[in-house]
Amino acid sequence: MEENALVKVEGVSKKFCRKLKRSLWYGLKDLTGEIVCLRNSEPVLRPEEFWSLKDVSFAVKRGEMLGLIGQNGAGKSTLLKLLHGLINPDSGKITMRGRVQALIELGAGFSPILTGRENVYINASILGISKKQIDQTLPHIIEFAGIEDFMDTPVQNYSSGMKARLGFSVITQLDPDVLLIDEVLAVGDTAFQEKCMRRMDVLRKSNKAIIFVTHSLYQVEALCDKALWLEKGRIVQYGEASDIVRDYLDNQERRAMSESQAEGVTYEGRITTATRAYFTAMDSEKNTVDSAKHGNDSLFPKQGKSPSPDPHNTSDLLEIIKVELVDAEENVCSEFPFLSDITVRIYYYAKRRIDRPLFNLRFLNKDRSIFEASMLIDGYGPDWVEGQGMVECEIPKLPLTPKVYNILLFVRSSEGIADLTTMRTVANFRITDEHIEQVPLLGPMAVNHLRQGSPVYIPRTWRFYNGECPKPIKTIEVGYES
Amino acid sequence: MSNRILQETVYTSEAKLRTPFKLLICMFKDLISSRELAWRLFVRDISTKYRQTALGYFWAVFPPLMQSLVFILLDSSQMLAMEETGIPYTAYVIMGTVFFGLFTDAMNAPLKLINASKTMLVKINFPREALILAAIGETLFSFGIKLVLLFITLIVFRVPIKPAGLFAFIPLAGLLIMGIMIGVLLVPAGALFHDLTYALVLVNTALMFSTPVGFPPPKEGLLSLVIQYNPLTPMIMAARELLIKGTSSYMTGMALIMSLSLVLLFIGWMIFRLALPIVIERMGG
Repeated sequence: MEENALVKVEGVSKKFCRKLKRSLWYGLKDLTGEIVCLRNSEPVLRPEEFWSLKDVSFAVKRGEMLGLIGQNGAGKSTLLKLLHGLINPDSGKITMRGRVQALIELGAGFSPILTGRENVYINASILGISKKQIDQTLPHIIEFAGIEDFMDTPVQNYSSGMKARLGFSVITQLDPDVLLIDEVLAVGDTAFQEKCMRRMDVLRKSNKAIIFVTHSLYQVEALCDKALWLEKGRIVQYGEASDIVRDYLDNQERRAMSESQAEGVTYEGRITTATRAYFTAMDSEKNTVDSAKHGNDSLFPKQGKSPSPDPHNTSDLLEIIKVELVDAEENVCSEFPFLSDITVRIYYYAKRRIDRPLFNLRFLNKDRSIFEASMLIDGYGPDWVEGQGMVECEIPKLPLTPKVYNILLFVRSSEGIADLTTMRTVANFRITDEHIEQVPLLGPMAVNHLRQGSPVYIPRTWRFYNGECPKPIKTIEVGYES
Repeated sequence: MSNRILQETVYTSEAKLRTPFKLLICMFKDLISSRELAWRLFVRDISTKYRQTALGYFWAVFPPLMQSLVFILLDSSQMLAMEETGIPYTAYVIMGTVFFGLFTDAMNAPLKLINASKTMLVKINFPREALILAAIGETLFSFGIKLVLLFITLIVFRVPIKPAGLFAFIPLAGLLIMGIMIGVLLVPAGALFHDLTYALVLVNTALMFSTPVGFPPPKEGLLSLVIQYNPLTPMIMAARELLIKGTSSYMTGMALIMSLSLVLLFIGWMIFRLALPIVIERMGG
């Protein structure tokens, strides 16, 4: 297998310097070292330096496409530059076999005041495409870019999208053994991106070794055979693309989860005029009660020893002590397998008797509301509550896809207008991809789409009809396996 | 397709000078493969340079004209007590500034082109020699325009040119080589620290007055000593004398400096190659 590898990277490390002046000074020193052959190859960090890449090893065979993923600053672009031979490694060895070309910069060397046509030749020449080849393929390039009418216009009058289209069209003429691609596909309008993706698919099947940097995990899952996950210059995982993508997404969610936990309450309470009116009404009732000593008030009986409510602190009335999420086995947890039963428990303390409070749980993903378990819809609970208590809301087979979710809680008064508590995030939880095999995952972007697409999974049936044929030629029922 | 022999490229941290033979082969291979790109870059830069100007090629002859004007003004007010030049002073000065312009253009071009191509350099691996070839091309092109100015001047002032004057191309080539050599040697440090770009402007002016551009070499004084040891002196003087007289007393100095420049140019090229990955690493992008 190693024999066929067009790209072989063995224990490669690269260091960078954080400070500009110092970096330039090191550059001068390195240069002197290089000239007098004394460049120290032992990998030692000098002050202010860090490993941009550390001990990276992998191989890419002909016909294979490798996706590089990782957060910003993980070292993806550095790795690509090393493979391209733009910079030298500080240790380790890179072996590239065959012609290497890079799809890194669109429209390299474009001169703004020259025409599109002139720039095509310049750009092609920089990329190593001969004039003869461009002469032959110019019509294809122009057609692919879709800007026939502007070929003799100076490039400075192009929109940025048009420039990118022209640049990409030239790049499609590359025919190397090894192709390096750095996130250039996210340009142009949707139709052009579609074109680019098709082109990528053609390239993928053309028996090259391709290395592909992207932030789009969809592209990695759909196009790449293997993936390399970098973090702070080190390899976290390297293997089958779909496995890596799955683990990477899982990791990202875990991170999002701990971040949202660290944030705590995300929603500020809001005092509406309705709330204010509610409290004022209660206060005046109380005063009446106090002065007249009447005992037949339904809202505030005599024994209701309530402190005077502060209209700016609504939580005085009903305190939420804690909120718990429990699974079917009554375990408190914050991670649940796909399609599991979830129960939300709200422990409260009512400082005085409250008639028919309405509890509302709003489920959110990335600040977007997904659904509500709301007594504003469902109706009343007990006639009144007072002192300590607990409300439980059980949701069977929660149909949410693997993601991080928040639960927002607010309690309203019986007529539904006044807030009795501050509206706030009371819990967050994560749906993992455990038990995800309960639904069919046969599509090319299944893992990604389920994770990054819409948050709700609903069973459905697909039927295909041919022509006028009244009977479906194929029916696909997609749902949960119980 | 897959059974053809694939070229293997290896990148390591080892200093490339440890395998000098391999380095030489790579250098010449890249030089040859860079011709087409060099031509493209040359055409691009020339057309970009003059397309968005109203005066066009005039800007190539503007600097030597201005410099000449300064000398002519100085001379007319008798501030330069100089020896007889043998030909009308205006023709003498324009000849000097045009030749000197060839040198300074050549010296400034490589660094200028490298800095202007930064975004390309940090993203794409093309034969870097193309930039130097393009720099040479641009220098020659602008020199060609200046030559037109020179010939018009010579005709206007009725300065006769000897057929042997054609040999002036040798010291002129020397000036070009010297300029490019210095320019290439400046690239590594100049691309890292922009101080050099600023310093070059001053150096140009200082050089002009310590080179016999607007006056013949003086016989005494501190300046005469500076001019005597200035490697540009034999080049400029040889070119001028060959063009006017057909012979020159500076031939030995010229030959010596030219061969030294060629050797240094080769060393500069080698350093340029070794330096670029290091420079690019620090350029960011």
